[in-house]
Amino acid sequence: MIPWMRQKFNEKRSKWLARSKRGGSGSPAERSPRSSTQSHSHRTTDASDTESISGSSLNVHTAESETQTDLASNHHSRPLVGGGGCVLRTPSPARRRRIQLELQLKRQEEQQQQALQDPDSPTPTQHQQAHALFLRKSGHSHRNTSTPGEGDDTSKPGESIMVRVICPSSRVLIFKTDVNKRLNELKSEVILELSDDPDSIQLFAPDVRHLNPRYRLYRAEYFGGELNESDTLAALRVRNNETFILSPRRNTLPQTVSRIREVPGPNEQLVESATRYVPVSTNPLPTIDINEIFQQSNIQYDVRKVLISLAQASAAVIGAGPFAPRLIAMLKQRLINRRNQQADTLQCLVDMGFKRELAAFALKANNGIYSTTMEWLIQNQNEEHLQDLPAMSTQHSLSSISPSTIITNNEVIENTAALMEIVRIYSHRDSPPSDEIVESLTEMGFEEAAVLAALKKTGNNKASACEWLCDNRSGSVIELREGLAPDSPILKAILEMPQVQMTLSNPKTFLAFLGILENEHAIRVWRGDNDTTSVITHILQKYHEEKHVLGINQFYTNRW
Amino acid sequence: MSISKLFVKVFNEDIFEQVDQDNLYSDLDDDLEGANCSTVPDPKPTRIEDLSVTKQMVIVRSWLDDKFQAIQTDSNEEIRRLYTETESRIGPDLTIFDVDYTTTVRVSSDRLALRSQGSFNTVRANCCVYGGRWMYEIHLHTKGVMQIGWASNSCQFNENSGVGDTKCSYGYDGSKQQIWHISTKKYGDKWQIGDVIGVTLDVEKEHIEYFRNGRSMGIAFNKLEKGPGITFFAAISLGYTQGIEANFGNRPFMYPIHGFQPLMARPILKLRRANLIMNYLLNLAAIFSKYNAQNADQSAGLTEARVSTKKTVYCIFATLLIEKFTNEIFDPYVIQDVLLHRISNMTNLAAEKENPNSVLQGLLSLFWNYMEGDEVKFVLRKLVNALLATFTHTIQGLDYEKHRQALGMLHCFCLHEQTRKYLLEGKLFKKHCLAFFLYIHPLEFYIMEELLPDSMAWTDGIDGPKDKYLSVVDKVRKVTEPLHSAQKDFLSTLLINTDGTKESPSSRSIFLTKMRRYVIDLSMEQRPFHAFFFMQSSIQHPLDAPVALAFVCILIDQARTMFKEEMPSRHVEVNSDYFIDGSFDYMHFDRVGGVLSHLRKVHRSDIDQRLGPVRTQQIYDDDRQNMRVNEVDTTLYLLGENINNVQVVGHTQGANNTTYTHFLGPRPSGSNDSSPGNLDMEASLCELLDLCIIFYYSAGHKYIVKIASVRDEIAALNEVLKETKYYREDIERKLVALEQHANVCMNENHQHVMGELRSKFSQRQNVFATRSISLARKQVWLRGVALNGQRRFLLIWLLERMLRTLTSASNTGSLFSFVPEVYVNTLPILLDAVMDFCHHDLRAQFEGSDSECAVNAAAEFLGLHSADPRIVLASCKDSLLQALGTLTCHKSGVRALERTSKRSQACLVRALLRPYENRAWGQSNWLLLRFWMGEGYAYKDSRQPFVWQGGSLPLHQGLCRSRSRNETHTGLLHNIAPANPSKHFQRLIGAKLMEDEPFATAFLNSVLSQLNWAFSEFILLLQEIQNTAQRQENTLFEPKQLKICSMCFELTVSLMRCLEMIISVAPEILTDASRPNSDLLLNRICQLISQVLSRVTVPPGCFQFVVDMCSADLNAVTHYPIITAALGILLALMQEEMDNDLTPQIVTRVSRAFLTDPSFQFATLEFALGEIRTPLLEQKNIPRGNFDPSARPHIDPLTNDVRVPLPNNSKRIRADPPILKFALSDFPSHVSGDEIDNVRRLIESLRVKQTLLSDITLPSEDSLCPICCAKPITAVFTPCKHQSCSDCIMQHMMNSKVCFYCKTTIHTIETLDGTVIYSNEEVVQTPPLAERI
Repeated sequence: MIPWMRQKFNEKRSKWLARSKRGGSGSPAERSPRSSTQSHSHRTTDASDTESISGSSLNVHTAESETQTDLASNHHSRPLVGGGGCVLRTPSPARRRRIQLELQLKRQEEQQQQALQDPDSPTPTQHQQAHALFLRKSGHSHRNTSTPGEGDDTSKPGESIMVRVICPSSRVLIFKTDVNKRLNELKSEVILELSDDPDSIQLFAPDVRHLNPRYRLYRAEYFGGELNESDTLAALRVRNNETFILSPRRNTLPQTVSRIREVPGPNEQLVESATRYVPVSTNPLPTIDINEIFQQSNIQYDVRKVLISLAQASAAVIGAGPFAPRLIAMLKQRLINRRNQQADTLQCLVDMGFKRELAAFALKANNGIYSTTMEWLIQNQNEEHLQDLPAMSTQHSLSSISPSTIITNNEVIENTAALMEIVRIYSHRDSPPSDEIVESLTEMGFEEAAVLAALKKTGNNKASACEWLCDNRSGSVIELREGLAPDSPILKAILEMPQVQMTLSNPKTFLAFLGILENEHAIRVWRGDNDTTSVITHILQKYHEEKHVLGINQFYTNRW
Repeated sequence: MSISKLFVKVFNEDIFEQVDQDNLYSDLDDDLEGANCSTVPDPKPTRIEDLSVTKQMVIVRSWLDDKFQAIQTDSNEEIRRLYTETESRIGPDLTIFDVDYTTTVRVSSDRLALRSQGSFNTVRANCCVYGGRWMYEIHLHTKGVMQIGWASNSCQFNENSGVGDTKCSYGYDGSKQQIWHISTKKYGDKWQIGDVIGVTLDVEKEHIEYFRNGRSMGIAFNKLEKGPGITFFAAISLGYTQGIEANFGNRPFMYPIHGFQPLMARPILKLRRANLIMNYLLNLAAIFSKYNAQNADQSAGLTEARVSTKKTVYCIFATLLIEKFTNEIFDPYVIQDVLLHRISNMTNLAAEKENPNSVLQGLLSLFWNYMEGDEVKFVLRKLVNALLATFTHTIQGLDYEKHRQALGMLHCFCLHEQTRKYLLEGKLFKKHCLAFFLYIHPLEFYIMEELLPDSMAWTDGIDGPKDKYLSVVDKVRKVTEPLHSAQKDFLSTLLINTDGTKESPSSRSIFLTKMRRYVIDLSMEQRPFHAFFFMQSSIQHPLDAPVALAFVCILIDQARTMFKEEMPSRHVEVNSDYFIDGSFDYMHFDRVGGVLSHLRKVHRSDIDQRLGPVRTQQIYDDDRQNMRVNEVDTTLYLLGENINNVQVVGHTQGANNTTYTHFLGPRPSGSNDSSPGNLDMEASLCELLDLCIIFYYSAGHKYIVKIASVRDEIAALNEVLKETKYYREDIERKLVALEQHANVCMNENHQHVMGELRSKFSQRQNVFATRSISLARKQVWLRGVALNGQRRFLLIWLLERMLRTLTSASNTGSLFSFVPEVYVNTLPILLDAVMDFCHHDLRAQFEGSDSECAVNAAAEFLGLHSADPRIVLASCKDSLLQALGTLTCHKSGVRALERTSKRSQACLVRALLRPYENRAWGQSNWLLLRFWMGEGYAYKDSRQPFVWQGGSLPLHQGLCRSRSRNETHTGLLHNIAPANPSKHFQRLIGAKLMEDEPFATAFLNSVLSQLNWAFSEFILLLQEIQNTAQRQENTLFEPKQLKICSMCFELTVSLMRCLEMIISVAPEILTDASRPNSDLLLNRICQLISQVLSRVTVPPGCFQFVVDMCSADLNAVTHYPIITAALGILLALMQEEMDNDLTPQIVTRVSRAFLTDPSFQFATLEFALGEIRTPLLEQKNIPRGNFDPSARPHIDPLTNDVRVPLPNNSKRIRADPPILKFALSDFPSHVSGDEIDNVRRLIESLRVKQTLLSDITLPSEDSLCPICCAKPITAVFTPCKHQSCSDCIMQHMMNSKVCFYCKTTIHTIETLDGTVIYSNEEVVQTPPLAERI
């Protein structure tokens, strides 16, 4: 070989080695051949072989070519022993040469490594660390080899033992090895030995050492799990005449596992083409969007009805209980107070000089709040567009919510009736519609009076009012002040919840219902209260669940 | 021995007889060519034995290949048939979920198990069908909202619509028990965790049917959409956190339905081949294990092993078979059907345990030896998965046979050392695998129903046969017992400590290391950012609470047994040295004294002394090293470096799954790996106990709370059921009466209303009864298994051991600070569990006696450490108070406290009576009250009466809730337990206050200051509420504001009660005029009561207004508690006077102080009785003072804040009359007649005394004290010469040393006649100015 070519070859090889070392997890496997060679060389000297190590460096140049010839001459040099197909091996000269080659390579490699330790090198810390670790180790063993006389047992040649190795081709080889040899080295030796046996080693590699990680050497007798290949035989407590097995590593498992990674389903064309001839049989079903269902029905409106029904149920329960008299008295007093207060406020406004009808309307429109009513009145007092007000205000006369209708004599029936009356009063809340709704409906071309009437009927629900105005006065528009029908599935479902039933007898729940009926926003406050939070949450949740089912099913009755 | 004989042994056939002569010859040619083995190539080998081994193996090999070929030809027919049957299937052979990475579903590596992390995710399989009959199975991991079924590929799914919500999809949801195909209807059973739902599809018949655990639930859909482009994909939609595992035929079906094909074809060929090889392998395994047995029999010192051809041949056979085997086995179907099936046939646990050389052991050894590491691990993982699937499946009968079998098999695997270590290392602690194996699934719903029919259900409310019910409980317990003991055996196998070698750690060591990591990860859930940690840590989803409890209990049991067996002589406790020397790693848990590194710095010398300098040095070195590792670790993380770097630096955990769970909390590098060798016996036991405590704290307690809430719900239902029954009967009676008097009162309407009521009440009763029955059924399981007597006993044991540990740690002096916080933080919850939650009958909880020993120990410890300065961590201090709270909630706890040592009691009293400043005093005040509650005035019950509780009939007081309901330990709010007053502690408190005057004054001063603060805060909030409410009728308030208001009110009341107790137990503090501060305190108290009473009673006021509102969150704010508390204080003050009023004509100090208080009015006292006889004094007649509203109209007299004037001209609007009227007599359940009489007598006697106080003269305004505007000026301060009354300035001096007005430091205070009543010693000591000159 031409010298420069040889040099290049060696460079490449050492680069490859360096690269493969960087590969991380494989590092022990990489490391071992090196140390193996070391120990190899040791063994050779120990066996007082004719060839000395010093000569090896000279032989290196011809090593490559010699391996070739070695393969050819192998047949003759192999001594065959035993009828059972067992072969006893002592190192052949060819192998020895090969070992020396490895040694040489290793040295070059180390030089390479040293070069890599350049401070400017871009290798990350991790690499350096790993490298340093390695260097320390190899340096350590160097030291040991140089002073074989003292100390460390591992470096000292131990007693030699016989080891039998079963090869993939079922051949059995017998090795005489040193107990301080690493398992990895032993494997390399075996592979090296078999490199010309096509039944055993079916792989080809430019360097036999590359095959090392592809094979596995394990004991025939069980000692637990995979062996640590960098351990020495002594550490593994290998006995004399113990049997080892060499077998190639399999890759069936990684294949199976990788198969699972991505298996996409069939694409549309495939499906289309496969089902071309399937006869059509579909049921005419309109596709609907669930969100639309929810938009269509006014949740606030529905919840209000649920609450009215629940308040009635609660009234019935409380009416029979011990809290009824006090609760009735309290609610009655509250209504009286409110009426008085409103009368006072009205009187106060009239005293200021506003027209009584106008003031009453304004008060109503502003939820009875004095200050805002004043502002409203000051803004609107000169406008004359409120001609039809008297008609409105008679409708909203206070008589309908007179607390005087609440009479009780502390009898169960009367208590219940009184509480029912209270519920009625609270649910009977018709605040005038907001200007925007009226405006938007009048813009559609309806007369304002009709609009107002429709809104009143539908509880200020714009959509329902619209339907109403279009003469679609079907069952969907119900008087708001009444609750749900007693056989309504939503109500039934809610009343069957023990959490709800349990709280119905609590006056606080009753008050919460009334509070929310009076002002929807109160739901927020009552949801925060310890006693009522769970019941309100449950009601809303159940309502939504049932509403969903009903909303969907209304389009397809009796489909199954 | 000839090879052919060996062959027969393994392969059951004798092929060598059949080998042709021709073949032999041709083989020989090969042989020559190969020339590998024969010594001298024999030209004519006549006998098969003469052939070389290699040669023979070639024959074996080819024979085996022939066998395979034969199998293939045999199966051809079947495969072809299968192929035609599955013609209408489109998709790859391997059927798995087709996971789109846009969804938020976590998928297992085999793409079959799903867990949703988003709101509603739909996932489809990767194959579809358009004809034929198909099925797949779903194994439920959770029981929430999921829709399982079929969908076409045109279906578009999103967050709102899943399988069944679109036109071409069909779904079943067992949580709602509904099926969906756009529209919906009721269908099927409610599903349980562990159910296997089978889904079948018959395209031709247009049927879709669902099976729950193999039982058909009927045909769900009988009309399907069909046509070009419409196919059926197996599909499933998952609600948030729901999880399932699908089986499309990847494994054998749990309940195969005849006539339906799995979506993925059965691997017929592989199965047959694997079965064949399995036969041979089993033979081989038997031979190997026999060998092993022989070897074991012979002496171990067999150095010179004989070279055995036989063994060699077997080895060669094994290599060959395994090589073939690995081609077939890596398929979960094959593993489960062939391997597991065969193993289960031969496993006999009892025999297995006896014989360490059984066939199974041989087989496992064979695998471990001849297969590569990854391969055998894969197989083992799949095996365990298959077993787990069986084990977590809902039980089908009463015998738990299958579960026992599965566990038994796992146990057998784990008898094999290598396997056990691997499973511990790599499988059992992943995805809660071990936890599931140690959990027993509840009985299936139908079985439960059968076991406990409605007629046998018992609760107090529905009143069934209790003894029968309890016998069912017992039966359930017995049914699970065999499985439970199997689990215990299994666990003890995992904890073997004798298998460690120089290189590898023992099983126990692996177990403990892994377990610690697992437990600490679980505890992360309670920390902030836990979601983040979950993402990172080995635990991907939280452990189910019932599973956690089962695990923890079995672990405690194991710890207990091991202590008993291995160290019978030792005290069972954790050696406190381990807290100090860092053997146990507590990661993110701090120590009671603070952070570990800080403690190490501070206590170096103590550690030195305790552990010896060598060990100490070692610890500190370790510390330094760890610190460095952690620095690198964190920075690497922050820099976003890749994971491998970390591994090099210090983490040895393995490159693939290095986690950053603990990058915020230091983790010593070494602790990740268990150190090789057997563990020290004592250390390992201590560690196990330690783990039990952490585990209980982090995951175990949760389910106990739930169990207790079931009990509470039952109790609540009992109450309401009784009530409903009563009313219903009442209505029935009235109806009958109505009918009888039909002629008299012909009121149709009445009858109608009554009928309606009757139906309403019977509906109520039904609802409650149904719920009660279902809960009773649930409780059968809880009583019998989930928290049975045995487990309760274990918890008591744990509590005792923990207290013992704490006590002995406390004896180490300052090193007590090293105790991890968990130990203290577990105290309250464990006490809760033992004293309260473990009782399934609410009534039983207050008289439990089996835990006496533990409770006594707890009382002793808590008493001694209630104010231990070594405990620094706020959470621990809080825990101690909470634990004391638990004790005082129970009679047994209070008795235990009374029995503790004198020293402990003294400590406790002293701790409770520390001044209420600069500390969290709310809870300790509440603790004081627990000793008093029941003895105070109208203070019988912790619960206040309702506002609407009017009239004369006494209200039945319902149950006492346990604290499980709100789970929190907010001392102030948990007024739930019945009163258990303790005379003993009252006496101790009294004595303490009497003997130590400055201490008592400081305490009372702080109580009064806090009271003042709380009440003014409360009134301020009330005014704010009133202002907003009056301004706008429909205004809504911030719930938070209302809650704070309510809180202030409760604080006020509890402080007043505290005052009442102190006055009652140590009246001399105030009545004894010779005590230096008695005047001052007395005046302050009188002033306070007058103010409170006038604020709360005089209508119309903001208090009345708010009470009338009956707003949410304010139901605690009523007249009753505060008025009774005020009356209580007053009566306590006047007690002596009224009891032996021999000279009613003399005005005592107390009554004088009270009567002369500027804001005192008789009307406020009469208000309590509901009858105001004395008219309120006209404003101008009220003695002027700081409460004269006319003097300072815009200043709130109490808080001195400027009041916001009402915006509108509210004078025009009449004030509302009060709505809710108050009278003590309305609350007969809370106040006795005597108590009301006492108030009457009090008023009378005060009235008499008032007439005697005619000498009162109102001072002129100039001579009034400018601070209180009520009393005459009596004191002058030097050097600034400002003036005030002596009370005001003395009160001021308690908190400050400077002049009230000009802030100059006061030297002395003198009365007008020149007596020095105060001198500031610090100032006086400095030499006067004149002297210096």
